[in-house]
Amino acid sequence: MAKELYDGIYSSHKLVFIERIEKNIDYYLKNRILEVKRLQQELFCVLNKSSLISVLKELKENPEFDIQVINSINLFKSNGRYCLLIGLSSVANNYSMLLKVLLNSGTDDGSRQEYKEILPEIVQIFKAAEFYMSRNNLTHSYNDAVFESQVFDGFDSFDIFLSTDYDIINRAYLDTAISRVLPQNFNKDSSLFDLQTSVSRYDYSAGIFPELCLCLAVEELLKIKVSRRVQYIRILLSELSRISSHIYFVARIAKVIGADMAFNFSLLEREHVLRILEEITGSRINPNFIKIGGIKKDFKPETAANIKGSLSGILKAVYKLETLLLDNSIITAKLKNTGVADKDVALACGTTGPNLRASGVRYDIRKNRNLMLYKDLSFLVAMGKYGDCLERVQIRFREIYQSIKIIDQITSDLPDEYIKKPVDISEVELEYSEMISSVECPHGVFKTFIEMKDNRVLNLIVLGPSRNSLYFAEKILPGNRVEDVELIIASLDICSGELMS
Amino acid sequence: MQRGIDVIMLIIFKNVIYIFLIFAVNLAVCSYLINKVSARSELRRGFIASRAGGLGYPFLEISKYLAKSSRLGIWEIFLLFFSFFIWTVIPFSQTLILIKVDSDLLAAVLFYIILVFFFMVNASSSSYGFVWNNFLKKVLMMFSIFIPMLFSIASLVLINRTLNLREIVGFQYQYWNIIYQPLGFILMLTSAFVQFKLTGLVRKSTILLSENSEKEGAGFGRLITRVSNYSTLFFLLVIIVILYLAGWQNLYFINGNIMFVLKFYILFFLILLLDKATPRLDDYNYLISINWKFIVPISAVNFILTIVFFILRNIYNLI
Amino acid sequence: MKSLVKNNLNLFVAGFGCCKQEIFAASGPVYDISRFGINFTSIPEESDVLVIQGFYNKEGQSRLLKYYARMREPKWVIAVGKCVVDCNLLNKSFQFDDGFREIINVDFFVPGCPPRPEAFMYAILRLLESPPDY
Repeated sequence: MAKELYDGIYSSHKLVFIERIEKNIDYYLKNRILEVKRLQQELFCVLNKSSLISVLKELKENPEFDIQVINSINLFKSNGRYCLLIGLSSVANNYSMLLKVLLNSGTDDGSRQEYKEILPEIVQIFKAAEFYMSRNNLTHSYNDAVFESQVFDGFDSFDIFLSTDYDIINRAYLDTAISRVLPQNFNKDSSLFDLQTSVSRYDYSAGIFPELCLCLAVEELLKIKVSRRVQYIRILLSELSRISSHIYFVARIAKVIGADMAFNFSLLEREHVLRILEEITGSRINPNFIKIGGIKKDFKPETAANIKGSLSGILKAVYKLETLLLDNSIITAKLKNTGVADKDVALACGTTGPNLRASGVRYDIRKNRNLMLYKDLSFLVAMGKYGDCLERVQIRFREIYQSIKIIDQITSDLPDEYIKKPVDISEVELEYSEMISSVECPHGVFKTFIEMKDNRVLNLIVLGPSRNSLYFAEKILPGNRVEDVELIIASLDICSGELMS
Repeated sequence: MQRGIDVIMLIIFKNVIYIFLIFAVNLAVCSYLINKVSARSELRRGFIASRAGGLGYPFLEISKYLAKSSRLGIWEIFLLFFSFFIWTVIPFSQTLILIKVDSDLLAAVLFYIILVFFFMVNASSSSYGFVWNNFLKKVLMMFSIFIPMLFSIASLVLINRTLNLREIVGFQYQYWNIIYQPLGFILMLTSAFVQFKLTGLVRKSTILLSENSEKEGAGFGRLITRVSNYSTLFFLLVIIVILYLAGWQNLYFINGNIMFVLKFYILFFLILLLDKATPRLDDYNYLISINWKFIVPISAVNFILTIVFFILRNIYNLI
Repeated sequence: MKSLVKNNLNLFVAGFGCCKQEIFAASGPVYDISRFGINFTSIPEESDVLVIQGFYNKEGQSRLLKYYARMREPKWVIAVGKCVVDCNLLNKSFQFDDGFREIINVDFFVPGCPPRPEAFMYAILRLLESPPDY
């Protein structure tokens, strides 16, 4: 009884909240906005280019909206017309929205020219938008140290230009020249079936999350309700891949520091987690397991028991790994007070996920929104305080413990239901429609925006958290020493697959 | 007269061959141990190059460097000479020594400092030119570690009242020097350990490789730097064994030469395990702070205590 | 000479993508690629094998050619993953130019998206068994 009551309050509260803001937008921005929609706990507005600046100013200054954070800017082509997609979010009011800005020109070069013209005006309102400008002149004018992209995983898709004062960094610029792709070239008019199999490459360290994100969006469009067992299995898989991704993060940190034993031990432990994932899904990192309206195949009752049995081993091993890495005074001395990030800086950069939580902001989509069935499970949101490298490592360890706790709860009482077959994608009939969905992936909030008609996906835009982390790195590098650059960037857990889009 | 010179030349020639043999055998064994022990501590098996459990590893490593196309740099030739010169003044037993100098400890330390200096020069010179900024930093990192080593050697010399290594070993016929200077031994070992980590035998060190990526003599030259890398490690271990652990003195009925080898490998093993237990140590600030705040003051205190002891005993005859 | 080199190979893994984590997973204790004498290095001059994997745009391709030119003889090339062998899954239009293929002579192709660590190790073992002429 109490549980149902709680659920009722919880969900309705969120809906009322977003409804209120939607009404406010209708009221304040009535003449300037073409269309407002509520897409799965997020707001979506369409507007013309001429009214963009005034709308942005209104959104920033009006206390009813109070938007302070710009998350992403993308240029794309939809329905033969070039558009800008601007992601905004508000910390105080706890919601986020996407603006779709219709540009005037219809040609390739003309749209790029417009993009270049409009960005300086956005920068005057939101300073974080400067990351999306072309800043090539910075690379030539002042830099003392250049790090070319290296062989390191997670440190390989961008170059670092630093201007230094002896060995203290004054200003940093991360150039993603080798991973930059023109937006016209990605995911244009592909079938949903193709996309479902390949989308997990965007976030390759935890491949389940892009799939999950896509499926949630399409399910919302088709108005499919998924059974509880399926949802629990999805949560189970996503927590398992969160553990594997975090352990891989620890391996990278150990490699940068040079702690060989911790590096090898974490790789060994990652294999154990991947074995479980492989047993369920059949693949190590790109599972292709979550289907629209269900999952590929239900697992047997003994599999759940097996997972539950192996959990204690993983817990012990992770604890051992933590003592191996963080009980060493040389390592903690190196991690402590390097790459310190303020709460405000982290928020202004649009960072999400563990990097934001390490700075002391309690923001986790699993708790803050109605994401799947996370509200039925008991877990804590790991929090940091100072936002240095040590805390960013510790927070990952704590998240691993919480994930183990979640998996333990799921495996101990998995509802015994019949799982329906997934929806046959070839028979899907839809009008032209848009949808946003987001999940909490190991790096942050993974958000996708899709445009669909029938079973063709006209546009898929991935708004990954790694880009914001990259901009965050630019902000926290100044003031640190040149020797710590590798360490700081490794501690932000940047996934180069997301930078590609 | 002529015959006498011939005999001396023959003896020297024989000793050169002996020393080369000792060096080569140690090189093979140590590189094999580094391969195996470091792999074992990382839960791995290590390189199984040949059927005999990886005994062929050192030879393969050497041959690999020789097989790459390369040219030789001038600094590497200097390195080659000095990594041999260093062994001319160090005695391996009462008779096995090339040049008999009275104060051979002084000469050995001098040769070692020059060798390490050439290391730095070699690492900092690239085809772009000489990198002064990093060179000075590296020299500071490396040579500030020498200070505790020199302090402990000085206090040991005060106790034994000689600069001759053979006399120092002779002095320890009853009690080893480690009993008189336990702190000095620990400091010396720490210094050797840090130098071992900085020169990077097991993993790549920034001190030796940062500017080397464009260097010309990367094939045969790398082999030379690698060999002289081992040479510095051997020097440190041999000096510690001679100074503190009584070199080639017999222990009860065990032969002195066997004891020498045993002590050498125990120290080598210890340093290897310590290396695996610690992360990379090339953080400039951390190293400098630890060195100047911790290791150097302790070694200075140790030195002062020894001086006080020396004065009380030898001048006032109080002890 | 090449038979001397092949028993102690240094790999240089260029590019970025999902294959990279599977290649590095092979260096862990479970697969333990280093027991065949394989090490990973970040300096092209020191490396014997260039591993091409992941996604490359024009800038990335030109950089790859630079790395290849900096490597010393003898050298081999292994192409790993679907992006290099065929085309990118996310974007069919991106693949290597024909001119690029003429300059870099790929010795082994490892298919898969991404290939398992065992598949990568199999390619390495094939290379050790019979190194192609360079």
